[in-house]
Amino acid sequence: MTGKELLEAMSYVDEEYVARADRPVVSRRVHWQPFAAMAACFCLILFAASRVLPVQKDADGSQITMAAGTSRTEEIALDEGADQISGPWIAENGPNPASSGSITVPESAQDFRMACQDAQAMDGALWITVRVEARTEQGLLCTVIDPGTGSYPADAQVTVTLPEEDSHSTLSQKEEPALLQITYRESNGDMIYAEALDPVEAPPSD
Amino acid sequence: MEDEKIIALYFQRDEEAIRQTQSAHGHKLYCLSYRILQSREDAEESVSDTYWKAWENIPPTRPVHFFAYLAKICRFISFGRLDLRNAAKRKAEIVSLTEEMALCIPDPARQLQMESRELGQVLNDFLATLSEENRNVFMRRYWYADSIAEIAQRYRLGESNVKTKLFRTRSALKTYLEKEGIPL
Repeated sequence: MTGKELLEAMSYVDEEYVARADRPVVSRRVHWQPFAAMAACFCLILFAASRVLPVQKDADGSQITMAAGTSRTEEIALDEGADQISGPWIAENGPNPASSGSITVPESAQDFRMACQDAQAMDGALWITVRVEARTEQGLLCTVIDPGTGSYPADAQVTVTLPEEDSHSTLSQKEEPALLQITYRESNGDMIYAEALDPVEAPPSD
Repeated sequence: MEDEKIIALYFQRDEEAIRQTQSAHGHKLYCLSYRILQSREDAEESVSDTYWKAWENIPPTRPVHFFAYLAKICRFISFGRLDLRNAAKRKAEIVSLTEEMALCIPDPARQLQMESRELGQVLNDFLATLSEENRNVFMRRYWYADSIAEIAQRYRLGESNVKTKLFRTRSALKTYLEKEGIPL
């Protein structure tokens, strides 16, 4: 047998091998652009998460971690008059640097209410504290006590329209003027369209 | 035109099939034949003979891989025309290929009484043992008669890398032929 014979015998190999060797070569070069785009998206998600769920540490270092998949404003539940938190919160003792999306455990219901208001404010809602002066057909005639995050200055006269669910609540039936914290998103002149009303205890007079 | 449509023209005995074959695969067939023969006239005649042979065989043959089928015919015809002595005078690439392949023969001094078809089957089995890349490099070199530089460029490999792959594959082929007990 000669080299020529062996070379000629190559003509008898399977046509499949011949066809495969003739196929266009697919580049095996690794394209870095998709990986760079994925890394950039991942960094963006991390940044957004750090902005939306800031880690706050209390003086005693206690933290709570929001359960995954829950909305901050939806899941925070305040049991009026209680200092305990109800809702899907996971209390942890001591700081946990590995946990993300943690906020401070409020020490009192008042602090917790403020936390709720902060959370609502983050969603675009505003709040003010008012004193109810009178009740009209349009709503409650009030005087602004604490401007809060709203745009009304202190002592301004505003008319607060009640949300549907509070129209016939015990709150609206109170005879005595009361301090209210009002959460709202829309207003028109001195008319405020309240989304939530919370009674506030009057500060002790000296 | 797609290969299936060209084959359909062959089955309709339409001479347009020849023109479409030339348009689709003529250049590659010419290059294949020219690498073996190193003669423009001989290569052109071999390609023309290839078209005639395809016209004779289709139908009834219906090739699965049309170009591979044509290239196989062209390779047979080209080797039939090959005169190694004249090729050596032209410094044809095929001379170095035959010398390289001779290194794979277990005992070149003894005459191998084996039909080329049987030997082709052994080669076929050997190719099945190779990786895809090594097999393609081997096929480009010893079937398509590509140069080392052309293979390196095709597969984005260094020329020394291609040479190394070919050397190892030839060594493996030699071992395989010995192991298969090629009748001597």
